[in-house]
Amino acid sequence: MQIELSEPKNGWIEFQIGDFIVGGSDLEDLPINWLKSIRFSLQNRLPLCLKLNSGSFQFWILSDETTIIVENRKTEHRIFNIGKKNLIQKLIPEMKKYLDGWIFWNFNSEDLTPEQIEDRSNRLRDLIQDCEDILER
Amino acid sequence: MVKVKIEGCGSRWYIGDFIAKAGYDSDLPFEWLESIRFSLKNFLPLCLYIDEYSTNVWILSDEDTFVIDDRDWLKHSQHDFEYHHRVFKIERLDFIHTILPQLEEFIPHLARWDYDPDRTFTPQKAKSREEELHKLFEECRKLLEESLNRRRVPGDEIKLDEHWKICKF
Repeated sequence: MQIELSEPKNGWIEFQIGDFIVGGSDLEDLPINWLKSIRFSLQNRLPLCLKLNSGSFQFWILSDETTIIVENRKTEHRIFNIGKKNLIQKLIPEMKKYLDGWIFWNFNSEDLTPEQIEDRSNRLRDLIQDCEDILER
Repeated sequence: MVKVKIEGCGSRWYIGDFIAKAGYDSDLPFEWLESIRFSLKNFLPLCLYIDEYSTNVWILSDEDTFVIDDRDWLKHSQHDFEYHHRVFKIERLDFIHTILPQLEEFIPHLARWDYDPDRTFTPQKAKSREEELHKLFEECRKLLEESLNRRRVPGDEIKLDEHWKICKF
């Protein structure tokens, strides 16, 4: 199943799962939130919950033996035949692809000091590394 | 507000008109408390899982609370069943505030939650689980109090008493 994350640009991201594309905005610190949730889910062997927030539209991705997307404005949900581990294995490389974009996801580059940029970059890399380590075990 | 009730040692779980029967196949007390702690610490949606033996229930709580189940599997074949979801108008912090005190009442039972298949469950093991559960509850209570205070206007501080009710000061 196709899993793709677009390049984070102007505080906007598109997440594609199968033929379904959903957008999310920088209202939330998506890269940190997603990576923390992925790590927690892997460490504790619990279902994964990810959120995409685009203001009035909100989507929650619940992944366990299968992946379900629920939306705040709809009573129907969407089912995707991909389990949690496979989803994460496809998501992590997607997140690594545009690491620079994620560093400045909800910040203007001029608002961050070089130290803050390095901190955020290290934080993202560490989280990715943690997730990859657990996946390899 | 939607009524959320836990009966016995978590064997029956009610949210509105939905009833789930929690099985012993997963270590529900620790899984739930760790998920609640993670959600409160990181301001992220809460996800809880209930193993009903042959069927599964997932609870996803954020601005509303979604309950998703695969019970249709019992009526249809493995390849031809549908997941169902219901939405309850109860927000994450209110949901946590409702279930935590109820869970805490059952600590002695939750400590003996019979998930351990090798049957090496000794009274010492139960005691140490009980202590760990108490610690987790205390952490969750503190985090919940901080979160509840964060969503209120400054100066309108709240504290949770030993029964987890809101006491205003």
